[in-house]
Amino acid sequence: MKGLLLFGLSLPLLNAAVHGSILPACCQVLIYLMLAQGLNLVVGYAGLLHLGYAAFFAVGAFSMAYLTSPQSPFNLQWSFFLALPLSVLVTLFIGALLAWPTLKLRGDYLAIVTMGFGLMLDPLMRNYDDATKAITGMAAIAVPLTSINTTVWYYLLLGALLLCIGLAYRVRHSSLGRALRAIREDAVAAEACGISLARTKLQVLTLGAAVAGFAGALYASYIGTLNLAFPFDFNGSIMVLAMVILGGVGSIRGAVVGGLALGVLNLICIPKLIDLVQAHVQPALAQALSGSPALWAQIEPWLDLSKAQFLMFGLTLVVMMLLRPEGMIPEKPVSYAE
Amino acid sequence: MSLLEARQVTRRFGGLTAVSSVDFSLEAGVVASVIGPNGAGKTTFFNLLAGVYQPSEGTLTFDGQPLTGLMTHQIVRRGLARTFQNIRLFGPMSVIENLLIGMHNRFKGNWLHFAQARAEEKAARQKALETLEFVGLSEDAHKAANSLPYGHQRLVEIARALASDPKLLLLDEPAAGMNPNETQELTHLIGRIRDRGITVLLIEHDIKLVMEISQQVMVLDHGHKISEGTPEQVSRDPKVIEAYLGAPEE
Repeated sequence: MKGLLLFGLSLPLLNAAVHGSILPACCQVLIYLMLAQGLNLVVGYAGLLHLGYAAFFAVGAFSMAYLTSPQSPFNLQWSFFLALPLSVLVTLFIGALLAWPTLKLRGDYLAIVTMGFGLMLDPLMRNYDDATKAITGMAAIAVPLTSINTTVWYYLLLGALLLCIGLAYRVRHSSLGRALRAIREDAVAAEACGISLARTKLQVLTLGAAVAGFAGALYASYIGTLNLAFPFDFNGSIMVLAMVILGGVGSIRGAVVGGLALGVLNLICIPKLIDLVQAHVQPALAQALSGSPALWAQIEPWLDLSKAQFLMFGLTLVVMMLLRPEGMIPEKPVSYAE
Repeated sequence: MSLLEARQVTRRFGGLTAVSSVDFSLEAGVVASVIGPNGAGKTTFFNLLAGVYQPSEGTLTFDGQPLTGLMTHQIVRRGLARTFQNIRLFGPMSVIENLLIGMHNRFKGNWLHFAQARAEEKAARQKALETLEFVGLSEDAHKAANSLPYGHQRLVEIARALASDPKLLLLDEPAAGMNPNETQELTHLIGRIRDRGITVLLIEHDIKLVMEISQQVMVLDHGHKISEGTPEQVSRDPKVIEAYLGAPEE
């Protein structure tokens, strides 16, 4: 993990040294890593299968936009530093509100209900676009520093991610984390140990929502112009869930590594591959097949790999899960040995 | 005043009456047993005490307070802890973590209060180690609970219940699956738990164990209390003999 942190810290320098252009994508990956940590609290620590996590990400992001953008229907134009904590609070409150009716649900039933929440928000905001600006979008969302560049953003987001990891670590080693593990292993026995299922689940669902709200608010500020699209929809929820499961459910390092794997794959590797095919493979093939235009006409449309982005993503996911079904870094039990 | 008082407690599941108008009173500081053939309603009676089920009729009073309407975790906080007929440990976690979970109700510090939480944690670990020593499992503190032999897992479950600092300990067939040697040690342990001032109520099929340590025995059959008294009284009661062996043929 230390090596990874060192690499993360030096990445902008390395990128500059090779005149690379991956820093904006890396910033997005950092946002994903925050989401993976937050969802890991819910899915990994508590074993609550949540399928609507991206909705909280959207709430955080839109709160930031509503509070700060000049195009917001509220036209408040608050500063970033006022809007950030309030966005987190709004998401936390909505997280607690939506957690309330799910506290008695278990397993599959919880998954269906959270999926309902996730699917509800998107069309609602779209259909009321006049009021929500979900499709029209909002620009000029407040930023932490007046003239901020991608490198500064990168380090800010890296710091925010470390904060989320610190929180996850703190929960894991607290009595709350222990209670969550107990509920995950055996809810009946956990209750017989004096653990309130409702209270503990409420705590973790609220906390998970707050982390998503934090990431969402930062994301809105980072991209500057916000409208409702991936990753705020159901696909976004599934993407973050895939990161957690691929990395190793319940493991902090797993969520980092799983998030990195999918984030880098989706935002850097696959786009690079698409460009590569476009720039080199396509002309070469066109040359080679110049004698048979009929065959070329058949092949050419398939060479635009950007249309197969999700196929490549999905295939990689399947292969990785087959190779390591327990995740890349499985959770280890907490040790109490001195 | 008795520690536990059940008045006319009834529990129905649809058409089946699992526990029927049971009156039961338990003084503090004794070891008492509930016995009866399979399906007599013993575990249902325990589940009523532990708040897993609510009585269909009747009242339960524990330590002067009604138990009715309380949830399991609230009942644990009142000082009533239990073990399960089929061991329910948190398997992959270490033995000491199982005990710390049993102590959950003593963690009052919010997890964000670093200093207070740390002090509580330290005290809790100390207490957990003491409890493990009391049941004779000091060696196993850092092993995964499901890696221990069966008899030891039973002891971990008892230790986990003890860790919550109960006034009344409910043991559901603690000797099930134990060899005679382990049963002998368990008998001894239950005596030592009572000597600590903890009242013990157990469901047990091992009649020898029941007779050896109980001051009070209640016999259930088909949900009804058919006999109650000292082990000697109960073992001579014709109704008990009939319930276990069937009515003598004419």
